[in-house]
Amino acid sequence: MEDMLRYQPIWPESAQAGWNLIQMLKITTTRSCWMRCRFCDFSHFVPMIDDHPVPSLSLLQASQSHPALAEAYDLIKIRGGLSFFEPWSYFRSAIRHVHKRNSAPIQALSAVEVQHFHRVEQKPVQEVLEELLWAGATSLGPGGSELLVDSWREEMASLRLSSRQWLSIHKIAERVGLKSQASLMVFPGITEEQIRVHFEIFRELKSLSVIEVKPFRCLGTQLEIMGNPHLLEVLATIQLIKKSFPHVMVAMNIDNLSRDMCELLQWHGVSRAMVTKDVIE
Amino acid sequence: MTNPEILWVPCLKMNSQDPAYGDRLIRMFLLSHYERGHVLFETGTICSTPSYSSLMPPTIPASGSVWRILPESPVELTTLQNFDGFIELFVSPHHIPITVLETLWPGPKIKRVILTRPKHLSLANFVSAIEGIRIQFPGLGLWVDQLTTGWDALTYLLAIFPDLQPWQVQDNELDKLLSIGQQLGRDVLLTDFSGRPPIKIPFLPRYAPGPARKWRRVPIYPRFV
Repeated sequence: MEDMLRYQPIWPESAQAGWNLIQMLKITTTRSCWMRCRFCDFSHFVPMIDDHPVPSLSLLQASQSHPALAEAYDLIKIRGGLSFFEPWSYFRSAIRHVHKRNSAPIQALSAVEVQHFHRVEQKPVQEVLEELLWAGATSLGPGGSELLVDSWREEMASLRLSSRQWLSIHKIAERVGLKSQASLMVFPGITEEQIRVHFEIFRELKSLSVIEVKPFRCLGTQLEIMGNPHLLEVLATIQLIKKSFPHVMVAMNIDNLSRDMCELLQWHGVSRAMVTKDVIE
Repeated sequence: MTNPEILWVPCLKMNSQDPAYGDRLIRMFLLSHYERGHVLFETGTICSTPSYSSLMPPTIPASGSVWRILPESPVELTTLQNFDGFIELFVSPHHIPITVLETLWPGPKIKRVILTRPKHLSLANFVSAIEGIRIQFPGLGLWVDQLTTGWDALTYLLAIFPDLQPWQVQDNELDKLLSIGQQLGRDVLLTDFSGRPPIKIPFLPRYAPGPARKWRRVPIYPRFV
């Protein structure tokens, strides 16, 4: 009980200024993934047996012809599981097509995918990131930065990249010209100490301007029994972020949140409210 | 200083049931809540229960009883002054009976004020309405109706106003109240207005931040072993 994250009540008067509604297009590359992270709802491992073949992706076709790409968005997010067959060039082409068809900034893939293609294709990380920039991405997604505490990562996602690897990929991304995006997944029972260790990694990123708060959604993951984090845990985490990084914007997806919750997020310092306008799967 | 407790008062509404059946219902309700619980009588028949209030427009309840007054059926001040009993006042921030409160508070007649939240009232406005009442009538026992307020708003209100109490928390949502208590470091007590001592409700077990492999086991609260 002593290590619990404690919420400090604040008054509505102390609300932070600004509440930007970001209309998003979410493009999911695949819902299958071999990494089997316990907190991830993309972690549906598809075994390679005759009855359950891994479906091939339709991302490339969607990027060329999907009508949603003709709409206006504030942000396009391209993310998903780690594919089994499609090479890096497939994703690069798909991102390029998305970029050609829509002028919105693209947050494409994440350090986890970059590490995956670096391993599978024996391609230097910098080269992957440079090609990502060439394809039209403006920033690298925050994936992989759920909670940058290695002991925790060992338990939850032993195949995922370590916190140092995540940091080094983002440092290279900064050098290449991609904006860094970081996140913090709020788990039930998250401690202040874990968040502090997590923040130590963030401090080494120079161009960090947005931290996305992701309350853990237990449904569909292996950790369903844990339940979702409490509202006060989410608010206390936002308070800690604002205290530690006053210059950084806090973002959060507000799909399916109540009006009260949105009001509370605004008072506590969330300034980028992301709304999913369309989804391409 | 320890934080004040959060009170859970189970409520039972009695309307048009047969009095004999009603007696049995109240008995079962109290038995299932360790003999703690508040009963609202909407009809003329009042069974003997330790904690109750009555809602009987247009007749005035018997002397010594607790009269619940709703915002949609206000009662004149003189009637309230002549009433020989106690008052449980339901209040909406849009219609706060200032004259009634100013006349009867401070005093023993007003037992509690229960705030209901109108549908389209923003949380900020609800907070300022509560703060306004607290400033104008310090020490007044304020309760917030959970059903109209919603859980997100109630969580915040309990955090920001430590003397506020939740009203109408249903049995099947007690776990939500317990998690709020756990997060705020405040005990949750099962109680009513009969004067009997409250009963502390144990918190639900939390998953330890230890190895994740243990998290898949069913948690056992030490008291139940």
